[in-house]
Amino acid sequence: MPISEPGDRLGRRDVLVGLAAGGALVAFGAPARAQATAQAQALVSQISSELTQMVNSGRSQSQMYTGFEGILSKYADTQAIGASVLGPPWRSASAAQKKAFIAAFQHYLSRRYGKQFGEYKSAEIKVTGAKDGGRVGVLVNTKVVRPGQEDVAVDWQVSSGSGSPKVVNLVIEGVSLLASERAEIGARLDAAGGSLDKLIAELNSQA
Amino acid sequence: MRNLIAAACVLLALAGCSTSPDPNSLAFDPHENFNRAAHRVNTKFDGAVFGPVARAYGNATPQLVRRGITNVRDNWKLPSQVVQYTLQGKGVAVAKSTTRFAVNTLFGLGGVLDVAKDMNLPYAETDFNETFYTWGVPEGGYLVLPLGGPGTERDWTGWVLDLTLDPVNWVLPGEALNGLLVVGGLDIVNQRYELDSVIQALLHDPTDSYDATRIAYLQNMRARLSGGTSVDTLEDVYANQ
Repeated sequence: MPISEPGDRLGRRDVLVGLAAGGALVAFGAPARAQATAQAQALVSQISSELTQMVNSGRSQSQMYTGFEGILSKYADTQAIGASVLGPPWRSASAAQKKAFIAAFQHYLSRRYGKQFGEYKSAEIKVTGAKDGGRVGVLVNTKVVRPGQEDVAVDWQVSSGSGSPKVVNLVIEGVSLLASERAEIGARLDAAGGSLDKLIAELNSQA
Repeated sequence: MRNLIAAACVLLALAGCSTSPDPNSLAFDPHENFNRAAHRVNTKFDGAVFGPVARAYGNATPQLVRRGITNVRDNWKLPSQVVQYTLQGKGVAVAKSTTRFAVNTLFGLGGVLDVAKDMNLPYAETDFNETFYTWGVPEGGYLVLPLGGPGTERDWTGWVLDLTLDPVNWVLPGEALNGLLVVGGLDIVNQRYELDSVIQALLHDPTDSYDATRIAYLQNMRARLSGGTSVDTLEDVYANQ
């Protein structure tokens, strides 16, 4: 029999070396995760300060849209978000369609969510905590505080799946943007008779 | 306690309760046909009557008055909430709500002023839905009622129980109860006013407003009951690319 007794091959020393290596992995792995949490928090703080600055800059609504779209493309992985929201049609789309869809989706998102910025002029975004979800990324909790109004809980899902930490989802009062947008984009694609090109044109015309 | 849980289960079974295999599911919707019809009624009603009335009321009534009305409503919900917190086994919340009720009733003109809030006793609403949740009763199917709005089978069962078993009903005289009914009605109109942009974004803007409302309602309710967004509900965005 070519297979020997496990005890022959795996000596006491090997086990110790193995354990040490495992220990080293844990030792190096833990700070890496702690670092991921700290990085995610720093990223959200950075975005928050840029958003508050922009909302209070006194810029016109259309300048605000452009500014917001810039922040989105810089700090969020809109490609991953768009692909996840579009679902199966993403995989059958051509490279040109994918590129056009992501640009249109970004335009649409900035209009849809930038519309209410006027109501957040004196708002402050406070980071209240963060939790590492492992594979899905880090969830950074913030509170949007406005004088005389109820606080709004906004959680930011930050993932390094693209190589660097990017925002991949927003959860507002428990409601996930990915889930809401998947429903909305899906309904629009249905309304467009399933044509991705029509959907792209419609997203681009979002006012 | 065990008897109560059994009773709750029987009650929900009687209500024809359906259970999703996955408590985080957004796809489970056994009453979709009925719900969509009810949703159409509600959307029309909101667009033609409820929304305009709420905006008119909100614009015409000073914030201080609207706040006072909400305070009265919240104050007289406290006795039933003390019962709920007891059923949930939350001793601290029982003590806080009881103290809050005593302070605002005695020193806040029967609840018009929220004195207790400054004593670090803020209002924290609870109901039978939360009690059922803490007992482990599943939420059941999503259920929209005409002129009632979104809910789940567990929600609506709780709502009926909250209304019928409110201890205030047995203690206060009829005139006071009628007054509270009016206050409760005005508070609902005020809530519609304060949530105007949210309701606009859910009920009137989306391509499929039924789905948008359902998804937002379920996720918001689940996060509220479990004390915030859990990382377990998050999806791996890079999984299928």
